[in-house]
Amino acid sequence: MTPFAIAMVLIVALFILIFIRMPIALAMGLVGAAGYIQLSSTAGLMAYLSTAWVDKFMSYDFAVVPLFILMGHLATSSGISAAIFAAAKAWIGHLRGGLAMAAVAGCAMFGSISGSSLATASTMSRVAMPEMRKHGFSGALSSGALAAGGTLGILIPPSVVLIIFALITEQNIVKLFLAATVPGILAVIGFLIAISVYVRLFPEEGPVSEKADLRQRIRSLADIWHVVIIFVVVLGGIYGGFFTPAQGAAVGVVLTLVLGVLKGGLTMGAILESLIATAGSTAMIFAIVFGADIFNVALALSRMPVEVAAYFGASDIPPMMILMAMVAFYLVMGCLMDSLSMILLTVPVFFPTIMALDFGLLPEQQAMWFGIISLVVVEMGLITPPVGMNLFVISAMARDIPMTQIFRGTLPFIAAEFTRIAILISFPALSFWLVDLVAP
Amino acid sequence: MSEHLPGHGTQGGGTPLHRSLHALCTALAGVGALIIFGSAVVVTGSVISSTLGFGAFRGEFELVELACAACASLFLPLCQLTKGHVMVDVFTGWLPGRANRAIDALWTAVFAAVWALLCWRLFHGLIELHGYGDRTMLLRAPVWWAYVPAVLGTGLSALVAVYMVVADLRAGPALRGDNA
Amino acid sequence: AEVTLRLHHFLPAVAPMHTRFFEPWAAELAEASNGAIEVQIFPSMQLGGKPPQLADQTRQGICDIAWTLPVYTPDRFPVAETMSNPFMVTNAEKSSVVLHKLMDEFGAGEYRGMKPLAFHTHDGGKLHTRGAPVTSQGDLDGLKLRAPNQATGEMLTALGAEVVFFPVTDMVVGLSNGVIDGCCLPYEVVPAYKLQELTSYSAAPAPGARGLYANTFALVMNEARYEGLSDDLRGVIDAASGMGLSERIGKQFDEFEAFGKSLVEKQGNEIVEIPAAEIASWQEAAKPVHDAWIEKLDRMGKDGAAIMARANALLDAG
Ligand code: NA
Ligand code: NA
Repeated sequence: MTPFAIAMVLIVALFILIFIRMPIALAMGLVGAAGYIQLSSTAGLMAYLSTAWVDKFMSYDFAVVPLFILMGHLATSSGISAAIFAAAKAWIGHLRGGLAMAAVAGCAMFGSISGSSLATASTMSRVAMPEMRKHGFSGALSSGALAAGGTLGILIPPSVVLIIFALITEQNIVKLFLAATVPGILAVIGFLIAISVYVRLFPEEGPVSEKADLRQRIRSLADIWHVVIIFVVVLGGIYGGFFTPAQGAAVGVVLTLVLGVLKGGLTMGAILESLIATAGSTAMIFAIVFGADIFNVALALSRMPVEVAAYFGASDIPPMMILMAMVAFYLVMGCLMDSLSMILLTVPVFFPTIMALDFGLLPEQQAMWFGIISLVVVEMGLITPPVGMNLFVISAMARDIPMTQIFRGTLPFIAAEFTRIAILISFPALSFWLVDLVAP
Repeated sequence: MSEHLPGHGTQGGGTPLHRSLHALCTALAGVGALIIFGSAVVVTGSVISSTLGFGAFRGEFELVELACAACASLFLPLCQLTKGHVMVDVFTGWLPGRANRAIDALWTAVFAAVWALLCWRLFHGLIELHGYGDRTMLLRAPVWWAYVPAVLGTGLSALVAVYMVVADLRAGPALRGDNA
Repeated sequence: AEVTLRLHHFLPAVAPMHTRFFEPWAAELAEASNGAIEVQIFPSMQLGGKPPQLADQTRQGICDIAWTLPVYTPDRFPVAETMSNPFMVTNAEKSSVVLHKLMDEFGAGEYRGMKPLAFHTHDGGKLHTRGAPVTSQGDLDGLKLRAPNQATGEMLTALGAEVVFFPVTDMVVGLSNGVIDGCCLPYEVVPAYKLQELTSYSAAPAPGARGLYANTFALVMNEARYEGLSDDLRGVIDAASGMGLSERIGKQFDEFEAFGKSLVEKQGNEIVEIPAAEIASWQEAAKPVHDAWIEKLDRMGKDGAAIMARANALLDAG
């Protein structure tokens, strides 16, 4: 069997195991291990396993995951998150699907201080899920909004994935962050429209709250000063040059704890409970990350992603068709792989291919355009079934919502994302005009 | 996973063995969480110190990395005990509850084997790195330290998984017949 | 191909080391062996693990060939690490030859289970800063600088700088938002991080003076894999490695350096010279760092003073 064929067998095997209820982490790890042995050797796998677990997580990039999850738990236990939702309810609760919209807006806010989608999805589901359920929102809509909203963690700068993209394509990270801003706003708008269409089709899934008067609205704002402080300190710290986004995660945790204690909602018991709850969600995410790591190494050994990418590059079809083919490839692979590995495996081949094609753009513009499109398509992998990390994060937080409903809830948001990808491809300028404007 | 509510997932929930396992796993998770929280305090201290002109703490990045590795490992057993590992139940929903439980028990058994294998390999890694005396660049912390929680976490996860399979089989038909 | 060798490294595929060295070198091996050797290159740590693991991965057969930095595993490869101390570099080509000789003379047993194919360095580091150029020790006072390795960090601290050890991702963000004032890196990595757009000044030692620092690199192969090759194929590997290869990679790094510098110039950044007398006084300030290194080598059962003296003699002779 050729390595390429082995890769295909691995992918099919992974689908089957997932379909028969095998935990995702286990399925990816086992299939990956089998592929590793087939493509390399048992001795190689054994050597790899003796360091891989510690190696993977002895990492500053991954440390933000437990940190932000802890921050979310602390914010919920202290009542800080309930205050955000009280305010959102007072201002837009009378709109159809208003709380789901507030959840997306909250994700956008959180995404502007966090560079990780998993952290954003987990924190905001901790914050918003109980509130939406309490107000009668369906499990499907609540989880769909939060899964999609979570992707704003990497779509809105700062973004770990964009930093990695910049490093492997030698782009200016500041300009890429700037370039991602307009597409990020488009994402928020798209999600809001998706919610609004969804609740018109299924009104019972997103009930309307009573309209609050102006006095209630003003008072609701007075209750969220904690959030404002956290937000101003972390965002101001990052853009004011006091710390890096990764350090911002640590500052956010400590600040949330201090404000929670001052506010009075955070008792010793509540703190301990937050610490233990952090453990559960982090372990689930890390176990999948580790399984995915072995699976990705097996795919790398097969060189399948490289060969597919090279095939597109060498083919004699029009530039736009090549771009579309790549997008399609990402979407398909995104159903099974995690975003960072997909970028690491394919961008080194796709990027030079795209840069060699003529789309009538300046090289730097073309690079940013492709970077943004890759980011958006890869980020969609987080919410496409069956392997979508954001879906699992939410499933772990709200165990009473069946996975079927979570999958169904993401459909409108996937549709919104498809629309956005079409817009970004059709109008390349959206991905760089802000950069040209601010930093010509 | 709809049927697994936290705390209700495990058969034999009231036995002394279960209670002590639960206490042990929770304690490990708590220690892990305190470690990662502690690293956040250190980073915040470093940022404040640097802002005030006293300089950053040397090696804060390494400390966070070590803390992340430690908490990743220490969190595992509790996740195993509370059936926190996520799976997709969309395609097996039509099967009777008893079939689903049998499948779950099978995968838990596989989990036990995988954690045991990983524990053995990590122990090997620990011995090897201890032999090399590798240390981190700035803190000069021995790298093998990070392997201690890893061996502990994967080893305990294996035991927990074995316990859950056994408890499941012992619980017998009485519990297997109920609805999904 | 009769033999497939997996080459693992940590740089992205756009890096000049990948496109202008690894790819051509792999093609040369294929040609010299009439297609019997195929080298598959895996950039960006695609085979898993982190850069510090590359040497172990080679020894354990996870990959067959790897390109690695001794400084990532402090004290594991002390002789190879010696020239990562401050002021132990002239240019990349000459320093690479010196390193290779040093390894032949003192470091034979260091890469156990591995067959070293080449040793080399990059050109000396420069000080890239945001706010003001650095031409004297006074300019370093309180400056927040990202250090490339520990020994260089100690040297910069001794000169009065406030040193941080950010990972590169945080360095790039830190340079753009001003958390740090500058970094110490060769021009060669300027394109990788777009340093020319993140900083405004670059300071380089005057011609003839030693470079501020250079990291050392080793290209190694799994020993059992090498021994298991047929005589013919081992001959192909032998012809494509050794002192000649070290010199060639060093020379290429000098070209990468010149290209990086041209980008800094094109950007219109100010390039300043650190006078030779100033560098001499910095070298004096860095003496404790060197003394500590000699002591460390002694503790490890090597003749620290002899290794250091030989390296300096070779560098001066170069
Ligand atoms: Na973000
Ligand atoms: Na997916």
